[in-house]
Amino acid sequence: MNICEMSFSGLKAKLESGELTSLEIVRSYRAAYEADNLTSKPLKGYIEMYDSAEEAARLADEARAAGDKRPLLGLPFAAKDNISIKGKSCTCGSRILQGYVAPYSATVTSRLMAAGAIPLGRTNMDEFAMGSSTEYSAYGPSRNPVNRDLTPGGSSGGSAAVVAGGQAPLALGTETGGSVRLPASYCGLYGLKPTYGTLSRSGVVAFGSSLDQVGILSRSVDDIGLALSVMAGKDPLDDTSADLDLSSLARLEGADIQGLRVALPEEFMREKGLDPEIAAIFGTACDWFRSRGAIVETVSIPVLEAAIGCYYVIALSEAASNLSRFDGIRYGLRKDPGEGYDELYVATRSDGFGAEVKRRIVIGNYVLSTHFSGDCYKKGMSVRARIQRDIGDVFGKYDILLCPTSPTVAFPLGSKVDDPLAMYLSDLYTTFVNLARIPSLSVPMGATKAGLPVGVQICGPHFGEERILKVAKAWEASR
Amino acid sequence: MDEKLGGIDGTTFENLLYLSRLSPESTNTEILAGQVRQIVDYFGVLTRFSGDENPYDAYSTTTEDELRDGEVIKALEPTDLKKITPEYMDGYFRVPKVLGGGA
Amino acid sequence: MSDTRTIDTAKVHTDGDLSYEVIIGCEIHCELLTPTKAFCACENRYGGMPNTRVCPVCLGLPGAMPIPSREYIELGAIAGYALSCGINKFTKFDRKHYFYPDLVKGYQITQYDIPLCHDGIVMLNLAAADEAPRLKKVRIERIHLEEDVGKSLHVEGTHSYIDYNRSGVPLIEIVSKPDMSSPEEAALFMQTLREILRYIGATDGNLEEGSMRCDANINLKIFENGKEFRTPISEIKNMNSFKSIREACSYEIKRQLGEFRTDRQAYTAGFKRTLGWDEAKGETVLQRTKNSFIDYRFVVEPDIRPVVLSDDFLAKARAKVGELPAEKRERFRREFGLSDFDVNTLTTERELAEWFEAAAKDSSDPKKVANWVLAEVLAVLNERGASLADLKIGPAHIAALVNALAKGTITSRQAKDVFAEMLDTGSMPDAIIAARGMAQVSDEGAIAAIVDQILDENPAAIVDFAKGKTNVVGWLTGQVMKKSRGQANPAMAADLVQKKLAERR
Repeated sequence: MNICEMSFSGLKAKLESGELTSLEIVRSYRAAYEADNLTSKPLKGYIEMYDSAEEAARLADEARAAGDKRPLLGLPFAAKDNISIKGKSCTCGSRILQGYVAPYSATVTSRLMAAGAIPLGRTNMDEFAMGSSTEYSAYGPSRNPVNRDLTPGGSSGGSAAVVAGGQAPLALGTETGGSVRLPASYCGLYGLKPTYGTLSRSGVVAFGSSLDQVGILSRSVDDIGLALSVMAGKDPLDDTSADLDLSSLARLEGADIQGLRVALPEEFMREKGLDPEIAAIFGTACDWFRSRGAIVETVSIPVLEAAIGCYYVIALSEAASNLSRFDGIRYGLRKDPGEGYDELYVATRSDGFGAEVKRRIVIGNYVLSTHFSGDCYKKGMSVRARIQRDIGDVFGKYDILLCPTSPTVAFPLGSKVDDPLAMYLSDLYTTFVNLARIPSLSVPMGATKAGLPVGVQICGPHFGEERILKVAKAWEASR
Repeated sequence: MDEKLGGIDGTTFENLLYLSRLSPESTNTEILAGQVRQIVDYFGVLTRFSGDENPYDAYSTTTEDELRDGEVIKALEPTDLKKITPEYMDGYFRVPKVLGGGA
Repeated sequence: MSDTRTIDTAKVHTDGDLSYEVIIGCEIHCELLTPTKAFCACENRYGGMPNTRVCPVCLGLPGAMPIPSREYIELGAIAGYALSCGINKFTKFDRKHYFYPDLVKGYQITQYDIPLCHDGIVMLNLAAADEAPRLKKVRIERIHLEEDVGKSLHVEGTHSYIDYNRSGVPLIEIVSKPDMSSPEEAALFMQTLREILRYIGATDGNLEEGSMRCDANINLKIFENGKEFRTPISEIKNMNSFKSIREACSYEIKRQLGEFRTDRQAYTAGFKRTLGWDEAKGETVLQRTKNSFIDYRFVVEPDIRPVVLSDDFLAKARAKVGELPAEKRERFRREFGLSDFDVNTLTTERELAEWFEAAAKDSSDPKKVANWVLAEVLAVLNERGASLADLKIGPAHIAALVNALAKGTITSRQAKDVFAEMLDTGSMPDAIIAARGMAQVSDEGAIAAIVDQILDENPAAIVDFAKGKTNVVGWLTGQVMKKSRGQANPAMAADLVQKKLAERR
């Protein structure tokens, strides 16, 4: 068996049956990583693979022999470079956090580790999660395993690259406007953005606090259910975390599609930039639902036209705010020209932040400053409230909402990096999900003639994770 | 710098950079101008769709029962602090000279 | 009934050719006595080794999130009720952005457009301690919740050193309307708020430790040749004593008058100066010098859900206010008939007032109780640097002592001895009196018997009395006292001597 092509839950079964040890598993991924690094176009999905993983695997095997029955014992996972793990570097793909080692763990990683899972390494990302291609990382871009000249997507591109590239069975990413679903779509993986509040954000470096969520990238639906079942639940360290129990997701069954009411947002179908091959694959997906007895209808949600604008107004403002703490005073990079503290701030931030991050901070401050931009931010919040209301209305009449994850497939590295405005349009179909705080799973439903993966989103109402995972499972089973 | 930057004049631009604590040399003004222009366009879209929604409806609320109890928990030790920066010495964080308060 | 009419004190002053009014508004920052910090579980305490009460949240580490405590919001509401404010049931937090090394996140969590409390009142008593109250009303615009920042240690050289123990300590900011008209009123405002907030247990009011700080906004309305001008507002920040508030405001008045005379063409619309008070130099000093384009860019704090407070919560908060100093004073005057001075002194601290009241309620003479508390008990506390809780005696002791005096069981001189012993041992007065056999004999029959005996032994005195020598009464009374070993009630003895002498003529 090829360990590197197995799913997270597949490996769990092998560990429990004794066919594999955790040490073998971790070593396989390490070997794959090292071999890949020697190629002419290495994936560079990992910024750092942890040396500590092997020892942890050894200990896990011993624990299993001694009768430890924790659900994720000995299973390795990768985590994006903005998710804290105590004692490990956490740099958010940025130079400004050079030298910062987290003195505490994010709740999501604590919970995975408490269940016995092993952190394998930290994955590459667009700096501070600002980007759609992982090209804005201070470490340089990652590559798409399907075609190494293409981007794996972003900002959680590293996480997608390591899972699709057989260097980890599951990876955590983060989303603010599509940064888990987009890379999942580009790399042919499942990518879940849970309902806002499902997963704790404590220890996850904030970008857009009212939009951010930790997401999961994997090779199968079961993997997502398993990881969620361990990580979800109220966290006293995150006031916005929801009080729920998702332990039942550890064992998923496929949903019965008969009678399922499926909504297709009309506004998205009319989008001019939508690649016709993607449209065709999406059409096939809709047909599959119809063939199983679902009621599939287009629905008009006019406010979606304002989604990207609303997203940028809110996300950039919150980003400018959240990045204020990076000043060289207590941790990370410090550049001190010796002319006083204000100059230290300017020197540190100018040197430490990349170009795209700087631009977003400036624009975010423009929006935050009513002095300059009037009531722009308030309007953004108002539109957001409307989006939430209108999407809620849709789920009053429909069970799930279906739409493509991205208007395009993975694009060549370097093709959009000097055109941030074009980069923003990659988020066209994803941002409304974050704004509405609903869960959405990108499912790899097909590939173009050139073999490039195409993802389709299954979106559900608030805390509808179980529903969308079961629907996805039904589809997965039918393949 | 006096030219209009996609809707922001020179002084405003300087002030924004200062608010962000970024040096003027540190960003590509052409790209920035384009991004600003786009954001300003978004304002138009937002105006079309914003109505009488209470902006605070965009946030869920909680009640006093869910608030934190005042139990003291000790978190970081000096040894932890030494690890996060070399500028932590003799129990203090060392910074360039400051006077009084900031706000 | 004392005079509680409020007075309007806006006075027009003159300075040479100018006449002017003083306009002062104050913002008081007050650290709250909650067990933990505002947004994290670090201990909320003063002092100790630097950076020993810090965590990822109050250090602003990446990924750390604020979690408000219930006590924090509750104490804020209690303070609001104590100042007669309305409380907003929907309460949320906002971020206020600026860069400073003592501000770990590059923003302070505060409340911007929806403060917890609004539209309150504070009554300042302008009278001296021994006068009837003269009250002036000062309106409270708002009280909001916010967090404190770290503390910088300044030493010689090019660096400062920061201690973040204070970062994240819970604060309320109390903002008054510009209703005060003199430096004394501004200081009195701080004093009155301190007293009220200590009464309700919101703060320890320790000014040297920085538990409360005052920013004063002061300007003048100047009348010159029939025209009215306003000087630019000066904000004098971070004053932590009544003296500095008075002196800084007084200085600023003079400075603004001087500036008006010489420099008024330099005024620009809406200009506001930020100053500090230099105690040593005795002058206000400009604080912001460089390009200080300041824009706080307030935005809703997305990490903390807005809280909707229930009626039940608010009712409980209101009940916890208890009786405030002004009400207590009024009631003490009424119920116990005490003087203004006594009432004012007894109510400076809630603990003392309650101690006194417990004693007064148990005794037959509240005025005497007041005297004992003010003269003797307070003297002991001052001498020992102690608090009431440190004493071995309680209100019941004083009540019993005063009752024994009133009944005539002991003399005032004896009472002083009993007091000293009960302080030492904690025994109740009756026990001490019995043990020392001090009980004054006030039984008329018993004393009469002794008087008879003395008179029998001193026939010459009876003769002298009949001759008109009235001073024998005193001598005979003395003999009665001696025979009774000082335990006879002297007044009664003298009385009986007089009576029996008259009978035996």
